[in-house]
Amino acid sequence: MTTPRYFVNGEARTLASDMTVSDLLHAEGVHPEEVKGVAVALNNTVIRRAEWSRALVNDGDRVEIVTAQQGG
Amino acid sequence: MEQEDLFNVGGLALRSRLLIGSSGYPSPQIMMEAVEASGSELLTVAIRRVNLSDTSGESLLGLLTSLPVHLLPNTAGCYTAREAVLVAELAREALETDLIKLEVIGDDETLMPDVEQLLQAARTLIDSGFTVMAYANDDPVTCRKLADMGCAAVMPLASPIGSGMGLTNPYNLALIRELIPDVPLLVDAGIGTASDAARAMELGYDGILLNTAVSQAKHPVQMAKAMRLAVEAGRFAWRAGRIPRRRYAQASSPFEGRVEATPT
Repeated sequence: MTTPRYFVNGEARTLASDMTVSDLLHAEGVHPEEVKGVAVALNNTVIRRAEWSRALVNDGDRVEIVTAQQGG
Repeated sequence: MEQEDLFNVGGLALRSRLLIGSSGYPSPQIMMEAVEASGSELLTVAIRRVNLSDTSGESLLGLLTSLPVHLLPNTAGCYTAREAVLVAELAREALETDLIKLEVIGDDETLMPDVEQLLQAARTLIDSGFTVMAYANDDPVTCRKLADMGCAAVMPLASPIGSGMGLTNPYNLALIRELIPDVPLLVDAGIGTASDAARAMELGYDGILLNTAVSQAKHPVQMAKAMRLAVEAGRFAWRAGRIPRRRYAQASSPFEGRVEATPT
């Protein structure tokens, strides 16, 4: 059996069991209680901030963590 | 006293009719100064992946909190309605705003909109409660469809994004204004210098959205001020009503009472 993994902003990571979106953000150094202006999509669906501590990450999931940057 | 000429768009009442982008300035400091000099109250930003290898740096949002501007997130870089809708939803969640500058690009050379995908994305976003400001081709039919659909603003291009070519088809832009008198129209993309912005405003556009003309100017802060003045001048000229063009001269000084020299 292959190690379960997920992808965050295109990079592969090893999946821990019962990992939530909040856990994932902490692991990436993005602290939800401090960071404003961040949004998360799990497999092309936006996960609202209020759901971060409940939404589970599964094997093969693709997670996008985005923020505002310079743009025209 | 003259009543203040406010620009109402997407539930905002703005004093400035110049919308400016936040990209491509020589430094964040110059961006801040240029935005301030522009007088703009609506600043466009892109939605991009967080740089996970370095989450320590000062964020753009942190920097922008000191400016008296509303943020207008865009869907730049999207090629399909599906991508644009996802980016808009992420923007709404990240920035807590229903405003979205909708761009759905058709090809890399012209960066012109893919009309089919643009209309589809606009429909979906409006149905989901977004306030859509749609970047469009300078085509009266497409612009009319976007306006009828319920876009908060329709924003035809003057010329391709970043080209600085100015108003390549002022005839179309004038037609679009004439045919859509009831929905805010902005010229978005292609403005090269102040006179381009003034000219678009003189056609009766409600506002101008630009970025490169300021951010890549030799002196961005000075150009930002020039754009602010040009947009104001063009707006005043439009409201004042220009004189009709004539083919022959017409003296401004009266003929009566003119001096006649005695023939020698």
